[in-house]
Amino acid sequence: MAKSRTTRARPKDRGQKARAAATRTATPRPLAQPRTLRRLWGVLAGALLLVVLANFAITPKGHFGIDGSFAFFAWFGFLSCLALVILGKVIGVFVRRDESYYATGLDLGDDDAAPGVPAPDPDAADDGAGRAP
Amino acid sequence: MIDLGFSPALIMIVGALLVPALPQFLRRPLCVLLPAATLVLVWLLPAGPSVQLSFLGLDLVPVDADRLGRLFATIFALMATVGAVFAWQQPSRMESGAALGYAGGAIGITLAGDLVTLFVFWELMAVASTMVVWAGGPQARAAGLRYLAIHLLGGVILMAGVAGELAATGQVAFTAMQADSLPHWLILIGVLVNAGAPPLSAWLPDAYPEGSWSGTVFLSAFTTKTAVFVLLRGFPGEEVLIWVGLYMVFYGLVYAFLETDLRRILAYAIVNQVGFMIVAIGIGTELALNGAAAHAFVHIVYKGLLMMTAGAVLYRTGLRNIADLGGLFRAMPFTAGCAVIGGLTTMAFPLTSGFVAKSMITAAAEEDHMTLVWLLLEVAAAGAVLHAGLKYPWFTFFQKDSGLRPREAPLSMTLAMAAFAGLCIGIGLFPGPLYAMLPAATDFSPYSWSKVMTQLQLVLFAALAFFLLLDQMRPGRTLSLDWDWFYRRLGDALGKEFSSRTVTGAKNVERDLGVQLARLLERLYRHHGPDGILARTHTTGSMVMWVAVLLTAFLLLGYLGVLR
Repeated sequence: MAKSRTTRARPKDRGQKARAAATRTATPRPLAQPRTLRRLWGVLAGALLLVVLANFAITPKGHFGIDGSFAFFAWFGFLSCLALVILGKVIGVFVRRDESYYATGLDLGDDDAAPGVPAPDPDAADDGAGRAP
Repeated sequence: MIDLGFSPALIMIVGALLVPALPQFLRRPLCVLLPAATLVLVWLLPAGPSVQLSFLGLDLVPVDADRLGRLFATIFALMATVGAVFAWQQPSRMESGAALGYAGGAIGITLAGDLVTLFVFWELMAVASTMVVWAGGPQARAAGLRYLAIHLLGGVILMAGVAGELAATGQVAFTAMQADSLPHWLILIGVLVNAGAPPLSAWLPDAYPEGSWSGTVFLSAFTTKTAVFVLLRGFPGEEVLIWVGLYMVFYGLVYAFLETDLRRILAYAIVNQVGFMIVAIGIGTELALNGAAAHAFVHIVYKGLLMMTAGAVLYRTGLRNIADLGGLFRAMPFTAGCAVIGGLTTMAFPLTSGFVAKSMITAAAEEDHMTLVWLLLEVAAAGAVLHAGLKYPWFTFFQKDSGLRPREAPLSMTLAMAAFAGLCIGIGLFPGPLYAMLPAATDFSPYSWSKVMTQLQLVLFAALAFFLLLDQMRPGRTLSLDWDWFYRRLGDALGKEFSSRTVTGAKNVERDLGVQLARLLERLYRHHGPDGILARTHTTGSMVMWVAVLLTAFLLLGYLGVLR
């Protein structure tokens, strides 16, 4: 029984994507009601305030000087994430490519391959590196 | 204490050969019971070398249990057991067997007392893990082949190092080394290939997400962490590892940020977290090494948990990209809860196992007054929300509703996820037993008000940054170029260009030779053929005339006295 469920789940892989997309556009539902969402933001804001205020009660001893500054880990954590997102964006400009990038061979300009060179195998979908024996 | 006379890993490896041939009702329980039995045997082994044999004139020590090895053997056996429960529904016989052999190889390495034994299990793992990748289906073939090629290359480098060590010292004992000679460097490089170190790190995010829903759970656990184990025992305090590790930490962060495939995000997160461990090994103090070992232990559990939740989503929906998913907490609340626990553990949230392990590593950098290293590690600790911490659970199970309403994961998967989620929280609440297993005795205490508060500040404000920048967190469907461009694109193009040019060249040479040969044959034919000058038949009259001419000439020369 369990086995049949597995085999049923696998072939869905491709078709379901399209169907899922269709359902999504038909019934766009937000994660939660705006009220709940506002409440969640409130909880996060409260927690943030709490951990910063706690800094008055507990003063972590700094090892390097800078980490002794007020609420160091709060602003440092925030700025770190900001910096990482910017770094990611910048690197992304250089390294991001279309999903099908490796599916197509690199064109070195000389396309009239000599006879005898096998045509790229469409089965080896994502590259020409070869196939499993 | 019992004296087995062989490595407990062999139970799983022999089992791996038998399991694919067995019917399902035997195969499934065996896959769970064999690793569990191995776990028991690992703890019954006496400390120190317990099996020794002589092979090709080498003194080998296949079993040499110490605290470090036992710690890793424990988590590997545990992972194989719980992973097999998760994979209960997996129909692929090949994967069941290969996963068992793969875990067996990993356990064999943790108990190896010499480099030759290490190498044998190392290669076994490479082959078995490739079969686990291939069990993912036809789309995994190319990625599996690339994976195998890199691991065989790493194995060859390791083998060269071991052979060099044997030639130089006559010893193959697996003890602490330093990167001070060529063989040691080769061993270090060979091991780092498996750790996912630059420049050959692309194999990991390339191949892991191509495994089946259960295969990737196994893949996430063993290869990189055996490399961490070998580095812990072989190269503690090797300074270059700090920089290698830091590169991995930030590489993992940035690439996970650019990725949208569920399991590829988690794969980059593996490189990121293994980077933490490698930095700690590079720092090399007792606290740092304990931290690396503890982090490896808890990382296997929480990454296994996260991969299981991703596997459950894939199993139920067939989807693997966050662009297609969202809002699944309605339909799969248990899986969503486990993903959140895994995410919190990745972020090292207090009361999770991530906190009790990672705080050891940052404390070690702090104690050693490595300002830059410490700062970068804190940046990375905050950055953990950008991948497995928040990005993966948020976009898969929350955010906007994708409209998908799959059923909750089956019972076997639920049990496995519950076990690992429980471990994440359990170790976080009671770190004592884990600390007691660490290689060096420690009185480290993660829970002080100051540590908890600073970690909460770091994580919560990082989370604030995440939610404020939510729109930036989900890039379009793209792939990111990596060092593998050199062999997937440039190497491929050069290979094709080479073959096209050599074929053209060969054709030209062939054609030129053909022309020359034809000309030669034509010339021969002209001279020696039926109508050739040298083969022509002459008339009797002309022969007689020429004889007469010759005789006359002879006579004339005689009269003139020339012949005298």
